[in-house]
Amino acid sequence: MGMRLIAVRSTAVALVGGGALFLVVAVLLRSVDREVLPTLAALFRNGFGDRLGLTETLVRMTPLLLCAMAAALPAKAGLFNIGGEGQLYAGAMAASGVALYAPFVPGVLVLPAMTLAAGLAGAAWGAIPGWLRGRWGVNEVLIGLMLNYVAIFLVQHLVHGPWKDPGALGWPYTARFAPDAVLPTVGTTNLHPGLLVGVAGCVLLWALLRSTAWGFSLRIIERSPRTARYLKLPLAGHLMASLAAGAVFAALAGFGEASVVQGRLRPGLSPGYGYAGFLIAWLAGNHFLWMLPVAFLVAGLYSGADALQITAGLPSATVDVFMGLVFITALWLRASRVRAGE
Amino acid sequence: MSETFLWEPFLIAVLAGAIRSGTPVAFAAIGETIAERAGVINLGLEGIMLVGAMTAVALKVETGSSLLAVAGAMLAASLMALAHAYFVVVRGANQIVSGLALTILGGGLSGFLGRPYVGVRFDGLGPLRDAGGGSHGWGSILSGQDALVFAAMVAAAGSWAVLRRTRLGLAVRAVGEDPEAAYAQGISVRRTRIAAVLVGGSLAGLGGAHLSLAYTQLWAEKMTAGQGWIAVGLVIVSRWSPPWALISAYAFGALTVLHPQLQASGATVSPYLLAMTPYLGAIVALTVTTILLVGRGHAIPAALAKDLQLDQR
Repeated sequence: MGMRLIAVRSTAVALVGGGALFLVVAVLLRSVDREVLPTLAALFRNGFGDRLGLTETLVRMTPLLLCAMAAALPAKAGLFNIGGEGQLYAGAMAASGVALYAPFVPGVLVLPAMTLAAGLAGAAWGAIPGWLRGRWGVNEVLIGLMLNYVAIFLVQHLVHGPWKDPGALGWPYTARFAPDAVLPTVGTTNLHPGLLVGVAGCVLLWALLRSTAWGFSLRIIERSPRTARYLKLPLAGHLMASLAAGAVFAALAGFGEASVVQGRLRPGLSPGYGYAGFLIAWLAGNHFLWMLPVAFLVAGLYSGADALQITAGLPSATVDVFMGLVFITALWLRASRVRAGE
Repeated sequence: MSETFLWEPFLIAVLAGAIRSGTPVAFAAIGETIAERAGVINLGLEGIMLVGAMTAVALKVETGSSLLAVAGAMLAASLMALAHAYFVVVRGANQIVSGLALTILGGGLSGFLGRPYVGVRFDGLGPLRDAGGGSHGWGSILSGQDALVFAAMVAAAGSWAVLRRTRLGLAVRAVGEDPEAAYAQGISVRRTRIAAVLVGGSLAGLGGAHLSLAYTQLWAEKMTAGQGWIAVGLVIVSRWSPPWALISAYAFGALTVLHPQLQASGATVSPYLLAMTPYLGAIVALTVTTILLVGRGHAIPAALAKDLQLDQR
């Protein structure tokens, strides 16, 4: 097929996909008696339109980007990490444990200790599916999904039981963190260094994976495990390490959400950042630099839809509807592109 | 525990509860067995069950008819499954990604459209035969169950028979084992796979309907709590066999009901830790099964989740 024809076809496919997306959104909004165009305009304005919206979008981008990294790194070795949600909660739990129950840690060391604890907990949580997959070939997708629920129930147990804030009259959360345990932020916003870690980490990982023997080994493992075995690469070790290393980023996302956004450990820390992160990584082709703009756009969708929930009284599930529709459309567009390129 | 603890009523209650609470997962696992036998994994089951559960409640509240509610749940669920089949089978999209996207969409749509029905009370699906208040013996394990519980048993037996004993079942298995050979035999790989995913999805919808209409008799957002994904895991644990899918789903159900039963009998264990046990159980079962299967992979449909590159007509 000629290049020109492919271009024409892709444009047509994109128009059809975008049109279908718009149509479904319009029908849904009309079904709850909302004006279509003003609502969508408000969504865009709230996500990207002004300083307040942009700040909130960057705040949302932080956990989304970190969770996308958690999925993309193991993907380099051909693994699917859909356990980002559990790894996020594991990191949040460990960081909270240090913040609330380690009075012996001197003030200046509280944040480093929380970072270390979150990173270790995330690595351990990610190493479980990684090891089971590497050593025994157990499906890492399902183990990761099950561990998501295990982590969430652990948080529930802690905040209803041993870690419950005694002053919180029945509310399931821990006491507020001391100022020493709250990450520094930009002014009065919730923007914290996690975003920098994410952006710098993406650039660093992109460079490392391109140019080191480690990156090359992962590529061989992804393309052909047989070749990897022939070359005597430590296959199981690489699989486990890539999943554990990726999980560290999701755990740091949980640390940031608990420390800054909530100021305490509570269930509902994440509205599904782990799952969204996986889809962001996929949408960016697991490319660490492409993940930056994709995470930013998806974050805008989150903050825009969130504001709509308050201003237009739309249900909280609206975010998931938008996310689901966008990913479905992207899936359709990408599958079409692959076919057109054949 | 005290000396007066009565094992018999406890066991009867756990068994009856295991069957009732395992039925939604059983439907989904039986459906997923059929789809995976044809070579397609559907992680979207989680969202599909939610859509089924919400549709069933909405139709029950609006029309009062349980039959309409169940049929509508199956229809809505198979529409979701059709999307998965289209992306994966027709357009060759990644099965994991499509499943996850559908789960997010299903969770969102059911939450969005189901908001008016949150907490609304309705007459749920009751026991098929009224056992009467006095029945507490072993017979009450089955006599107190609703029609969908028996439908799940029929679905398990029926799909086992069809997969094993009929030409249609042979076609489904052939497509999952060796699509090229199946195509050479004149079987339409594409149509067989789409049909298997549709049947699987509508069964998951039935599971969702049982969950909301009969088990909880309520609609709540995200009420499946991972049961669709547990079903996908149980398919591996039961080695792609529908009757075993039913049995393993009941085992999952037993873990689910153990905790209210234990609490009712006075044990003091954190309910959140007990709520974790079905997921831990799934992890252990999945790991043990996989380790036992290593080197003896004949139970796994050979073409499962392979990228569907072949131009399947």
